[in-house]
Amino acid sequence: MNGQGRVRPTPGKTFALVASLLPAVATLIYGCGTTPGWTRLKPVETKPKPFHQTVFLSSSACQTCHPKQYQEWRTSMHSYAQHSPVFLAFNVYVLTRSGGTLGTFCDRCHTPIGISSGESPTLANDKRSEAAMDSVGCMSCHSQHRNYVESSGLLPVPIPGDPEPIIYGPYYGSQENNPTGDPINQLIKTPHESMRSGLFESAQLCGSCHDVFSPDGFRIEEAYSEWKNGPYARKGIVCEDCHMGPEPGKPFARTELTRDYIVDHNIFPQAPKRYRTNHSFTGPDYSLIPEYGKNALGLGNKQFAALTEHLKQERETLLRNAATVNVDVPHTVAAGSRMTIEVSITNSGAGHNFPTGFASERQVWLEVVVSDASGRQVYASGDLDRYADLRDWESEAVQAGEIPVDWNLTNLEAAFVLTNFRGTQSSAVSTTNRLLNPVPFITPATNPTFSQGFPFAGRIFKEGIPPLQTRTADYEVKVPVDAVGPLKVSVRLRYRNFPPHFLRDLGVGTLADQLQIIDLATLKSEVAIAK
Amino acid sequence: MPYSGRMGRCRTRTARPGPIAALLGAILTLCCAPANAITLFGSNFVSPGQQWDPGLSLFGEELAPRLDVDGLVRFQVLNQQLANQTDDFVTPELDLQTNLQLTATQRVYWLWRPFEYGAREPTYFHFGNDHGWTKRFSETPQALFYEGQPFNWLSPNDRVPLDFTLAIGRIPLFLHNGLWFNNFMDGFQLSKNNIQIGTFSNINIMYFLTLGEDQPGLNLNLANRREAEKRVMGFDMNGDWRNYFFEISYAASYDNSKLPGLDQNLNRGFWAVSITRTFGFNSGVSLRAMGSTGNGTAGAGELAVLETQRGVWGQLLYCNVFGATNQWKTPSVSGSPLSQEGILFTFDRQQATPELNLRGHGTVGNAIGVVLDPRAPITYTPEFGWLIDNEYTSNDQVGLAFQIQADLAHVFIPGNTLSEMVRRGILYGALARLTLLGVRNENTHTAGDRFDFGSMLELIYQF
Repeated sequence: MNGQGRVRPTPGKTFALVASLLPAVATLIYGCGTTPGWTRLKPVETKPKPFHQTVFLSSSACQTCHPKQYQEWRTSMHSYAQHSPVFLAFNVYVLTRSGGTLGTFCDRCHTPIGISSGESPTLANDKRSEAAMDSVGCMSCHSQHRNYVESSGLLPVPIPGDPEPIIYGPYYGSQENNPTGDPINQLIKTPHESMRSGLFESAQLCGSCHDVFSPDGFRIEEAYSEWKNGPYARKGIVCEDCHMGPEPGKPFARTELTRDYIVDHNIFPQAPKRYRTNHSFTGPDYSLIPEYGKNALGLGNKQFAALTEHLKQERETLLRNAATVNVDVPHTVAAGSRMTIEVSITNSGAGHNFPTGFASERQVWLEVVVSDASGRQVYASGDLDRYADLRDWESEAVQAGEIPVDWNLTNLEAAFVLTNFRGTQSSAVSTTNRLLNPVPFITPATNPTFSQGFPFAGRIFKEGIPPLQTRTADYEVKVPVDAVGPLKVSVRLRYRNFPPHFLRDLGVGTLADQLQIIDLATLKSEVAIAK
Repeated sequence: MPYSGRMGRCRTRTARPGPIAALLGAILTLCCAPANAITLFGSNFVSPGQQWDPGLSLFGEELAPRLDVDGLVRFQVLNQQLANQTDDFVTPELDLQTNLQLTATQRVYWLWRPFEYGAREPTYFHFGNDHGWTKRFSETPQALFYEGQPFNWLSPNDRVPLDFTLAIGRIPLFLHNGLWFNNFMDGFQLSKNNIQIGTFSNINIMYFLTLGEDQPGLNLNLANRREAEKRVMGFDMNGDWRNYFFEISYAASYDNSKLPGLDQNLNRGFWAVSITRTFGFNSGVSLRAMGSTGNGTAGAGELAVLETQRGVWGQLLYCNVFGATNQWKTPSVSGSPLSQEGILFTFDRQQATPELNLRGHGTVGNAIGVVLDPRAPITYTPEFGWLIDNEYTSNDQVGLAFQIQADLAHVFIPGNTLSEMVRRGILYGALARLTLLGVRNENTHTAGDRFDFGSMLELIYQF
């Protein structure tokens, strides 16, 4: 270490000067300790914040004039986001395992008005304001007019005490110039100031939250990026076209919609019928809280049951519109030989990967069962263990050696994958990596993670099928010599929101009872056994 | 209430602000700061509060400026017998990281390590007859780069996916678990994520060009300077397919140095392939192979590495094996490619410690260890390693290591609830690590056989 060829400053005076200044600089910075920048995680507050004076902040303020949109939104996942017991459990999990250094990162999307108005991520829900508990309420979206795409929810929203916000949407305000000349595109005079924003006909509005990059560089969710790099973006089919239309999962043009009143006709009889979008934002998720939204909507048991069933059908329609399955089996097979079953899954309807969304969340898998005529099962893949988990490496029954691992399992679920203590990687519940750093500390990424794709600490493993692509899985079935023909082949493409072990890891395992498995496709076939 | 009254608890004596007292004062003061990145300007980093909207845009993205500072303080106390010489050091380290966030994707990042010239050239106190401080100060940033997606505005309706990322400056680059590239490069990277080809849905491709590299721990003779200043351009591609993660890289170097005097030809090619398969929580296998092609025999060779890890009865076993030919080289000038493969192979960037040969070429080696109770606040890791040196100056080695790591905040305030987390407050970020090392060297040539011993205590505080 001779240091030849390098010019070095004389250390003495420079060192003393800088070292002497450091305490002063540090003290100066520290002196600002009362600013929110220093006290990022405030202790749990015991009193709710005083409510605001701004009228159009809480979604209930919109209900009077926009009752249909309110009803759709109130039972949507946008309304449920901050109520979700799984989200709350996950947020506590990652906060406690990162020493709180993850801060408001998750809440920023789940309760944008709450966090923007200064509520701590550790604040209990029953202490939060009404607007905060609207989760992604009306104003979270309808205040947006600037392009904060890929910001992971870091965007300004109206907060208590702000001036009355301008409400943006797809129609021109009464005072705006309407370049289309079509009066249907221009609003009548409204109690609030209204303006048009092109964001409401783009994917970028959705991409401000549905593309999630953690501060330290993990690409946690990439629905927008997947869409952007796929064929739907090139055709100009955006998120709203599939998720806010009359049939979930089928793209529609706004002008194809049946015209309806976007405001209560009794209050605004002069308002014409317009193209009204579906504010249920139908996706694959649903509430795990029984009767969520029932009281807010003032519904009786029968009405709520009907609404719940309607939402379930919408969800299943969306999912079934997303994928198609084909099965190829031989007509005849010899006893004692091997039979190949070829199953192909095509992402035929989703503009992003199938499935997409938060890693570790959505499971889509193939269940393949072969039985002989006597009812004996000769092959199974995609079946569940006694904990209702798939027989993969996360299965507790597999880990305990009770049952064999399902080597042929086709599961499109994504996963968090972390770099281990010394080389190689393994999956994990969250991105906090205690193996690599016993004190996980979330800071801005130390390497260019947008460029390199992931931080050193790990990455997201993705198995989802890109739009219009097909994945094929082959199953080799050994036909027993004493099998009784014909063989019955059953193939199902199945979906559920969470793997049960994930809920147990978060400490909310009891919610697993409410998980629904939806069969997106069921195909049955018979194979004769040649003598 | 961990966030109140901090100043009152922190007493720093600065009546005679000599350099050492000032340094200690600074460190003590910084240790009193809360355990999170500090926002100096703009909307607070992962904090409650409104986002600042200056109403401007940069390359089509909304400008949301924010300036954060974070980093770590580390004290290393080292006692060792290395190459038949006994030494005791106290080595402080300060890493300051500054992040200027410009937009959602664009930022400028700066890493500054003021009290060192670079790796293995720290400020330190040496005990013994010639005891005293060796003081070093450098104003040169260790890393300084811009990264962002500056092309999206060319397709505002997203009809064309122009989400290419550009990174330019002095950039840390770490590929194939550091075996292939592990250094700070001066140059740029141009990359594209989310490329969809068939059922591959997660392909990232990066092109990089280095105009030179940092020179960590190198004896800066003419040959090494030429190595560090050679230009390297390459590609790295990675993605998921079925249950596997693959990473493929290729790079070519060419000697653009104007330094005279050496005949060695630095024009080489480098390739690398890594395949990783995970098996649930705590278990995984990685197979890595890489090689270099040179003109003639200089710099041509191969390395193969098998990394395995498995959770057994709540413990974490790992076993890594490697073998390399004599002339294998990395495109990176880094002299410590095997640093991630075991405690015994770890390159300490402050002081040379007893270690197994971590340069790789001409050796076959193995590290096997177990992390006991890996989820607990205190973990214990015994490790055994060996290395057979096939090079002319053969130095076979066998070693033992034992490492204890303690998350001090969890030790003093145990529990995983929110209230315990809030109570830990500024204590979070403190880590104590004790490492004991013993290496037996059997040298068939001039140096002879010897034992190296070392004990190292590190106190680390992240802020």
